[in-house]
Amino acid sequence: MIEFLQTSNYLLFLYYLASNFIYLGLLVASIAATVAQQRRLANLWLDRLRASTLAPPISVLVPAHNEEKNIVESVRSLLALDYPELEIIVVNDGSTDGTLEQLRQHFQLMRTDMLYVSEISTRPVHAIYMSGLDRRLLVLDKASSGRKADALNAGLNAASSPFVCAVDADAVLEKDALLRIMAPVLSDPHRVVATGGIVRVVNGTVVEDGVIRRVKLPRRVLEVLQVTEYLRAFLIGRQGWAQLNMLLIISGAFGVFRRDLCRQIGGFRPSAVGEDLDLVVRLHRYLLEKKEDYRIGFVPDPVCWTEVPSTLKMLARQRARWQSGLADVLWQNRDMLFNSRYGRIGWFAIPYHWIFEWLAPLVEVLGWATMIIAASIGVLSGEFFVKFLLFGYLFGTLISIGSVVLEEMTYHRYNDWRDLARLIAFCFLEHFPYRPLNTLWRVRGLWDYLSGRTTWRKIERTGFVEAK
Amino acid sequence: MPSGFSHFASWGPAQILFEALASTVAGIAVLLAFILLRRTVRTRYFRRLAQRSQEIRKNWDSIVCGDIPYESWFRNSLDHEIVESILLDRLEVAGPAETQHLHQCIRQSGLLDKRVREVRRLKGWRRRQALLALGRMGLPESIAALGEGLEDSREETCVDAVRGLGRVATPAAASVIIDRLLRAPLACPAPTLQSALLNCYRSHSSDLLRRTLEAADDLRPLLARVLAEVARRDTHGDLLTLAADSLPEVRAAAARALAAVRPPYALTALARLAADEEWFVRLRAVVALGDLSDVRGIPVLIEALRDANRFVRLRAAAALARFEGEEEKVLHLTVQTQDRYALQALVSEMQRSGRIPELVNALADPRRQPLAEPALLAALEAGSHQILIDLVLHHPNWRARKRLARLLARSGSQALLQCLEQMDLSLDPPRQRRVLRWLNTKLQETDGALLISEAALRT
Repeated sequence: MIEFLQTSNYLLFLYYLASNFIYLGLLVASIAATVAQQRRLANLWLDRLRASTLAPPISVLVPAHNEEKNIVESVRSLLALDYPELEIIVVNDGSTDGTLEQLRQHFQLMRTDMLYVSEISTRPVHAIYMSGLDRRLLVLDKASSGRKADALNAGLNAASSPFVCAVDADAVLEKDALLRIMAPVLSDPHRVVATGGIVRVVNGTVVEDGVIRRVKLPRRVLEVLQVTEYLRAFLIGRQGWAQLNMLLIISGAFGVFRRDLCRQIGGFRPSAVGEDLDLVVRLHRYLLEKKEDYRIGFVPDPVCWTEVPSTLKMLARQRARWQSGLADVLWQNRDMLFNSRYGRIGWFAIPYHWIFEWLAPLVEVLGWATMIIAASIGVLSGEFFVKFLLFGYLFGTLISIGSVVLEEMTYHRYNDWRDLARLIAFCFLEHFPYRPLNTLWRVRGLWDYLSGRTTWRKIERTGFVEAK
Repeated sequence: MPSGFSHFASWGPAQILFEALASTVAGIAVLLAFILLRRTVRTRYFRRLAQRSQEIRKNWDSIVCGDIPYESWFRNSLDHEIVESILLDRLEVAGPAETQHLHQCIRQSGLLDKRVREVRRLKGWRRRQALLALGRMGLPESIAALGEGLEDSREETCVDAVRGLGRVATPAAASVIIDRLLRAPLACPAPTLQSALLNCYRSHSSDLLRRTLEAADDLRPLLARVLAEVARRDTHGDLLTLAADSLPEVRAAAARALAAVRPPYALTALARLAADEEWFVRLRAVVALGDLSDVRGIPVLIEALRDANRFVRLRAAAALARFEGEEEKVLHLTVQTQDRYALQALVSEMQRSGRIPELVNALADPRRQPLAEPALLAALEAGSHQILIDLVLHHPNWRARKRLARLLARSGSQALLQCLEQMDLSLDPPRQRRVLRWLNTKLQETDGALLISEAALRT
């Protein structure tokens, strides 16, 4: 028993060290990428691109399931985007609230009988609407399958542009977000097959007519904690992986994909809970099997703002779903693990996600339990235990503050000194008490996955803060 | 001598942890200090920048014409930076007279020489910055230095040299790029190359046409693509030779150029390209015919509606939907092809481009009504049930609404009846409910007899 506890403690210690040092490595890679990106940005003439006839058309896909509170603002923000050739396809995925009514009222929707070829099979599309106000807007009304992937596939079927951009219905894009996210595609059109953009927390920020007017940190503690978490995940995690060309996740809230490739791999997997992760992993698999030279990029400057859950219950539900999605995708692609056919993805990216994402909540819960037992029966010295706790906490905080540094170096959105002070203060809270809670929700997610409860459950929205 | 590993092992986990703790705390302190210091420095820098910019803008005319000696701001790095940035921004919007003054200032102050020196001496990011600034100056003297940037082994520098040459925007700058491309492949993405050449030839499209005709097989498609973008009515040259080129990419670009230049032979040449063996040449020709908007092209487009390639069919439908005021005629001709898929593609595109409401509008016009009625019946046959019901309820012209309702009632379309029966009328206002019930009754009275006949459609 004592030997087991000792071994378990050592393993937890090594696991923790490895996890933190990988993140530290990613932080260093991200800083390098950020500096390069800032220099590139200074030389990027977006105004020229805006009027360019060479910019490829994009279809923006917006799956909406009970989004009546945000949908009008979101669509307005999408229609106001700076991009030469744009098509917005909203897929009303069997909403039971007034989502369709809201769209009908605000955009003068007309029912049409346009040709819709169901190249990727989806639940039936009841009707297609066209806006009388803006011809670029198309609304598909379809039966719900309880999955976002099905709605996205319907959008893919209706899309007519060579690139599709998946955007959440509760998201607000900055005016030049599409121009910026397309920059890697334009500079390397043959290799870049997908790019992801940064997603930030809109809670607390003032939105008017679908446009961000004033960036502010939210008031609720839970929401600010998510701000620091998003900064860390996107500015360090995703940017670091993208720098190594091993990015596995492009957020479903904002990502651009080549439409032909999406269709070739059969679109989004309808049974996937984390359809965004699943699509990117399958893209890697498909392109690596075909031995293609490709790149999946991440751009830290095109900003997409999204509403995050403001209650513990909703947050728990969302995080459990994310973990289920991860477990599902990793299991579906288990043959890629340590498979040399899939190169760097098979040897590094997939194993990392198995060991440090899939297993993390279990290791943490079991590890902490054994440590507490060991400390209480005297196997582990009390001093070591406290130091270990302190180290874990401070190292995590260091990484979170690192993401605030990156934020300062890149977009510098939170200009107010008070917002900066709060942001830094919340970095100290992110690893305790927020992280243990998150771990429990993730364990719940794994349990849900193993017990087969993986439907797209509703996350309640409060709507954007409007300008007064 | 103990190894590094044994030394490390002798520390024990507690010692490592202590070291790690201390490093972490130090790391956090460094990061916090960095954030605070950066904010403070930036706040002061921007305050100074704003102050100096204001003063420089106040004396701008004296600075440009040299009344304030150039050395007074050239030697101060902040002033230098501000003056150059204002100069380059002004050049973007200046007219010919102001441009001349600004160019004189750039030459005489030494800004041009400084940037040329930087392009030749510096490396990496600083060289790239100098290349772009030099390009933005738009001076012919900078072409040679920018051309040297094309020889850089780093792809990003090469790209910036191409972009810089593009900003010079003269055929001479384009020649440097083309000559370099003739020598060896250039590590630069095609859109950047095209964009630069496009800027250089925007006002010299005839020169580009000449160069395209002379170019070798590997370069001709690129130049032809640029030509397709810049060709205008005043472009002179032999587009027919280009349209008969052996390379399909060139023929496709020629189709686009033909629509832009509109020579007398455009329609004939495009009709020939619309029957090309390569699908994308046919597609470009079809799009160009739509751009041409010449009603004589309608039969060619109707034929393209039946093309073997789906994309060509869709583009033909989109092109046909662009003929304003010809909706009835186009639908009539499509019905005559007796191709259901062609009719569906056209009607679908007409809905997308808002032509169906326009067709309904024609019902209220006595001159257009005779053709509009069968055309709408054809649209109904092609499956336009929802939109026609929607227009019966919401079309802004009440006379057209009424005539459409009567037309639909006479159509006897069972599909329309089915569609009405599936609709949930409880949400509609009473007036609309009444109209839909009336339509429903009328359609039922026809007792399933389909009144739409080929003869009616061909009226």
